[in-house]
Amino acid sequence: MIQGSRQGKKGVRHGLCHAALPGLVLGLSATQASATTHLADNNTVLAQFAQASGGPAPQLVEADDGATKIEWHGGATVDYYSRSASGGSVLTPYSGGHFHRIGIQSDLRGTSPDGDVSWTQFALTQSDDPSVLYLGNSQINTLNAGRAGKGYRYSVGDVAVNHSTLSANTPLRGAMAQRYFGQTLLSASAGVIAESWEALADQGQRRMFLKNAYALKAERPFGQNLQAYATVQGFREDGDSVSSNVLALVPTTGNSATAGVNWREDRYFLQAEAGLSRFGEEGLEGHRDRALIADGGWQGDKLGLRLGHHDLGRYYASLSGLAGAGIKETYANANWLATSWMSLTGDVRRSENKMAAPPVPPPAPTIPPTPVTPYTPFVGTTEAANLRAQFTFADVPGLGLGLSVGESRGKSGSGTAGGSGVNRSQNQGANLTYTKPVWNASLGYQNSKQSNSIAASSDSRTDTWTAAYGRNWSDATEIMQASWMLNATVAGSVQRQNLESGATAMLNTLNLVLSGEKNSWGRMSAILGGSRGHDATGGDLRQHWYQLDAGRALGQRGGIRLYVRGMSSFQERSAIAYRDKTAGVQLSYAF
Amino acid sequence: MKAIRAIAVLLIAFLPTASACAQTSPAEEKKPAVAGFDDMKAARAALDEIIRAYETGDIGLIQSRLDPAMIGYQRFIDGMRRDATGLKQIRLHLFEAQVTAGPDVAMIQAAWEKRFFGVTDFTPGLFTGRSTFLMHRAKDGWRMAAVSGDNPFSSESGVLATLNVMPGAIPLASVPICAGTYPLSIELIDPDLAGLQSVTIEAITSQGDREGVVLTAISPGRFRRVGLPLCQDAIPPFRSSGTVEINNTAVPATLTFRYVDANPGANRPPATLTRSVTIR
Repeated sequence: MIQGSRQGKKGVRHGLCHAALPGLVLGLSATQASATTHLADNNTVLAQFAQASGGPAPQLVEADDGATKIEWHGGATVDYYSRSASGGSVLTPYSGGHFHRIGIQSDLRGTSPDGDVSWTQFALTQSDDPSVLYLGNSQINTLNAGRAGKGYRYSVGDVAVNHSTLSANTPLRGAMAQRYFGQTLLSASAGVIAESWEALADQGQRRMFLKNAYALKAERPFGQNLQAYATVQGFREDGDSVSSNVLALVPTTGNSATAGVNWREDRYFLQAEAGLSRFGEEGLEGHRDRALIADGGWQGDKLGLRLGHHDLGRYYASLSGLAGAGIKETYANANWLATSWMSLTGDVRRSENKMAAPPVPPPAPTIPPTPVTPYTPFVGTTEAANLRAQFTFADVPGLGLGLSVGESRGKSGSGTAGGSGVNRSQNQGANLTYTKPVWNASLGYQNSKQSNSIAASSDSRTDTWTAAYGRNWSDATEIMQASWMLNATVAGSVQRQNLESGATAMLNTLNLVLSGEKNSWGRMSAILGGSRGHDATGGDLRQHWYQLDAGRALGQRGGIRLYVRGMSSFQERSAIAYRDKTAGVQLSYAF
Repeated sequence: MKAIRAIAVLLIAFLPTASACAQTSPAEEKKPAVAGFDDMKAARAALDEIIRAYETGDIGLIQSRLDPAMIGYQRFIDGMRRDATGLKQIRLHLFEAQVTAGPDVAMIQAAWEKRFFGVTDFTPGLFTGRSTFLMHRAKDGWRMAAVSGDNPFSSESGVLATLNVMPGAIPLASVPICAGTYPLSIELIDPDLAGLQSVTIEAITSQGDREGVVLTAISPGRFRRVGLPLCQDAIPPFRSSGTVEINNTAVPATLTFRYVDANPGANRPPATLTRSVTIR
């Protein structure tokens, strides 16, 4: 990290922000958490800026008072690796060959004397490895510039629209602005929802329609405890943005409006929102739908209660990833610190999956009705309860016990496949842990039963035992920090699945992890593991894997890392055998 | 579209003046929070932890990382438990990841491939999709608030189906005289249907024929048919006869396959997927 600052009789004015920050910065970025801090004057920082970006350095404008602080986090990592892989694309994402991967990040910020922050962020990945970038060989991971200060914020590029649960909660490539007018906060966003910047620019990289979108929100407090807001948003998919042979869908449009409140008083709180929407598919009749959510509760010193109800129509169309359409659920949740040695968490809920109902066929005048086919093995209505308990023992410091039990029962609504399908899920578990300063151990057991009358082939009971032991060594004393340390953990699990058909699957796994660090040398980690078992047909399952990773600093800002890893699976069964081995080196530079 | 353009213009016009005309506000005392790469990295690490837990079937850990007020909580949890039972050796590979971050929110967009083996016969399977993972900063770190787009964790939560038909054009001369079968390949991939043994889609011709076509599961959620009862004759077709009939006196004709994905994910209502083949 580089941090430049300058203060004096004639400070530096925040004109830098207007002159330079909106420009994109190509730089080297901080990828290592261990990067050191270096202080330099403005000239040094700006010279490095120019060198890295290949363009003129931003101008600093001196003012009569105040100071501008520039912070620039930058860095790059370069990986070069060779991989051998076999098995085919259905079994492994990896292909063999020599590959490289370059990552660049830059975060340039300027803070004006009155605290306003301007920023420009940029991250880019360049690689010829198809498991990293499937289409093309470079991708912009983040591109964003903006400014925020007292009562306002605006940004362009990748913007996170985060208005409310039922309105807009989505990444957008466009612009957003927020500003207070007195007590009222207005937020506005507009842009395009696209898979990537590259897909936005090149039709050949699109697998989904471009979606033009806007979102508006007005919010203001009423008294100390109540805040109310209203939103309007909409989207329209561009049907010409994807060639017809790529996507078998028709473009859609959606518009919605919501209103909500956030209330908090003493130990009580409530969040509620209601929305109306209209959704349309090109060439088909539109659907109007509604949504309502209410979540409230009471938080005491030892007891917390939460209650909620969500009801979203299956055609409710919004810009919010949080608003899962077709859900109707009611829940109650409690956290209770019952005693100093026991805490309990309970949850009961009833949930209806409206998506499990048969879809409404397209209207006859436009397209002949598509017959409703057996659509889903999943059920429409579910009732569930879960209870977790955590125990600690004052007489045995470090000893802890966790218990959990849960069950959900569901049934199909009329009209779905199978008519009256029944679904049941049960699970129980216990986990015992013991932690001492230099070692720890755990022992766990999980049991689950699943049944589904519509898709009964995987009905089964699964029992899983797990155990782990960890130990660490170092030269730390009560008065000195450690100059070296070594950790070792061995973990194993045994899993047995009994299917209702009578078949049994089994898998035993053992994994050893070693990691160490010495101040003057660097750090390393090693993983060695394997599993043995058989599937439900009786076929042998054998896998083993390893990984060796070692790295050390190069000077104060650089680093080098060497790694080797591999996995070999089911080599004795040619139909499902796959393996991969990778060896590579990574160089990094961070400032 | 006019509204979008107008808002975009207003936004652009507003940007240079925002700081100058900002008024005293409740946020005055707060220092502006700007997310950095460290926040993005921490959000991604929290997502990776959930992915590893899903792969190993540790649903309890995921449950402890979710807000009980999450919309669709039970459907999400039940779907993951069902996946853990029916799909073995799950490996979820994320690529082309991009991060958009706000002060207390990170939105990770990524493509994914989910590989697995069916529990009954250990048949390999592959699902693909594209998701946006909404991560919120909680008191104790980053938590996953929702998954929009195709949901890789829980088959029940919705993934957009893929319908493919090959070839895209059929010469009339290669269509057998009734009754016969044409080597047409139809494949439907819908992870929401994992567990079903067959699915019926619809075939419609521009000449008025309409038939149901049954596809058979070859692995969980993947249905295929190679060979369609398709033939030509010199008379108009009969609906629901079990054979797609082409009136060879009225070509070119279009054969359209249609499937309604009732749960396509992406907060999208039931979506109609179509593929067309031209016969000339």
